[in-house]
Amino acid sequence: MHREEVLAKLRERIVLFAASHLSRDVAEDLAQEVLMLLHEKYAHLERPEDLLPLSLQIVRFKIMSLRRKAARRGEYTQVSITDIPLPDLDSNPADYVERKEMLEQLTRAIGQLGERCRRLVRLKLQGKSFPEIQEIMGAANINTVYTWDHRCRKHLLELMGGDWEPGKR
Amino acid sequence: MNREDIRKLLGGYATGTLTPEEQQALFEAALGDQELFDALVREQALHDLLRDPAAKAQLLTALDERPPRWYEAFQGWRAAAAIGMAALVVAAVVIVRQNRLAPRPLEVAMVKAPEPPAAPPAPTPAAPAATAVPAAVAGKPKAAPRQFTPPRTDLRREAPAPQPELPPAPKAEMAPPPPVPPLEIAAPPAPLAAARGMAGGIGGTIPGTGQNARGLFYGNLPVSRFAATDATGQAGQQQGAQGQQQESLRMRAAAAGGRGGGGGAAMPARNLGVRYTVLRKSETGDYVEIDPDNLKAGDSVELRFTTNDSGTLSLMARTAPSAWRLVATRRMERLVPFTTEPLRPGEKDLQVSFSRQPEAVLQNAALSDAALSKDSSNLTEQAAAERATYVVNPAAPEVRFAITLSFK
Repeated sequence: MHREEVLAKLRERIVLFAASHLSRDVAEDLAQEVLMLLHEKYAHLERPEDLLPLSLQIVRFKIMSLRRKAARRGEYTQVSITDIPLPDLDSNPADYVERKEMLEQLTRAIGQLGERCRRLVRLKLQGKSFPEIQEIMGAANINTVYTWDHRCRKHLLELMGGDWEPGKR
Repeated sequence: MNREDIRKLLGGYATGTLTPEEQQALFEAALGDQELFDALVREQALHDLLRDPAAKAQLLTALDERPPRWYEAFQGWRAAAAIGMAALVVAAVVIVRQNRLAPRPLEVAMVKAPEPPAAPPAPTPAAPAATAVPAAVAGKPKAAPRQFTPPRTDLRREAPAPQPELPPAPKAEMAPPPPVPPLEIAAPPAPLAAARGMAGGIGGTIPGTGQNARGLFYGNLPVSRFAATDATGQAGQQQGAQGQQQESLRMRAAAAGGRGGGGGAAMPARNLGVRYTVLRKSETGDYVEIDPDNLKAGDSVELRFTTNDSGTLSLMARTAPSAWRLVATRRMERLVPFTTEPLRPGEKDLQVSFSRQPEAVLQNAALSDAALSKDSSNLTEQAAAERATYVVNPAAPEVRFAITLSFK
């Protein structure tokens, strides 16, 4: 899949996602700004597995910025592309507080998981891939590990209240 | 991988542990699947968090801690509260079960409000004193005539009158039924040590018969079969201190029979008798029954009389020789106690007269001591357990006797 083709699909996906959370115009602008950023600063990336995670991170960060500004000013304003910094988790106190709150809640939720899920999450946090986890946990099939992980993730998400980010609930 | 399997790779995206093949499959699928793309965007927050090594280390530490067991939640005040709640639940269950299993008390008697005394019936001199009235008349049971007002206490459970079932017979050839002997309560034997004869009488028992005044007093009292059975059954088992209970029971039983409400016929006592007790004013102001031998100088005294038949009772007292005072004269009902007013200080010689005929009762003149002594055919018995004295005259239709209170 060529880069232009990937970017076209990315734009479509971003617009639809943002439109479900923001207005259509804002969603269009948001997608355009993400693509411009990818074009100007990440022109060397071509594969979907490189472009897509990056675009996801930019989309999330931009949406968060939009919400903060709307809350602060009481109105939606266009965000200049120059205002969008590169992802930096410790960039500002608001991010820090949100991350801290999310981490505390995740810590509590993980403590309520069952033994198998705790072991599975532990192995994932240790950087083990699904095939390695299959071998460690003695699963007969890789799909079994996928299923275990899917259920554990679903349970963890329920314990978190349905969303990973506390501020979005 | 199908679509569902690819969605299961979302968990690996957040932790960054997908293999290159898995990543390619997931991202290519996300570009063509809006729902999966949205899920990936939502997963991005966790992905960003887990990129931080410090956050990852904190979560690993939380995972290494042993998850608390369910019972470990009950510590400190929670444990105390749980134990307290459990104890309350157990106590409630026990109480409920006990209430269910406990037998309900059988109510056999109740106290009724005193009813206004009925007009005294006319004296019944013509009534056969020593003959039994049949409880049933041929062919048709006949209610016994009532002679007494209802007593203050009442038996709630009354057995039906003993009515023998008679076969239907032609009226013309109906033979008079055999007389049914009245049920009699056998008075319980008073404690031997307590029963003793009184001076002036002929002794505690009738020579040759073994009967005492107490037995004669309660003899020939018609009662219902139930009451008789109950009373005699208990009388045979109880002695001494339980005499008062028996007394109460007998009185109630006899009174129930006397009402004729299904009991035996009310008939004159075979041997006219008087039962009296001495009451002394206590520290609380109430008059309580005492042993007459325990009177002390200055005591305020009352007397309580009970007769075994209806009649007129008169009481006279004196402080000095020949200075008699009529303390009380009144109509007595069978087994209905009568308590006098307090005697005046110094009044220790008393004369009691009881008869079915009012004119035979001493009114304003008392007999001399000699006459009283001469007339004494009384049978006297003092039942110490009941603190009562029984005086019965088996030989005359009236009872006259003297009481001498000895103040120490």
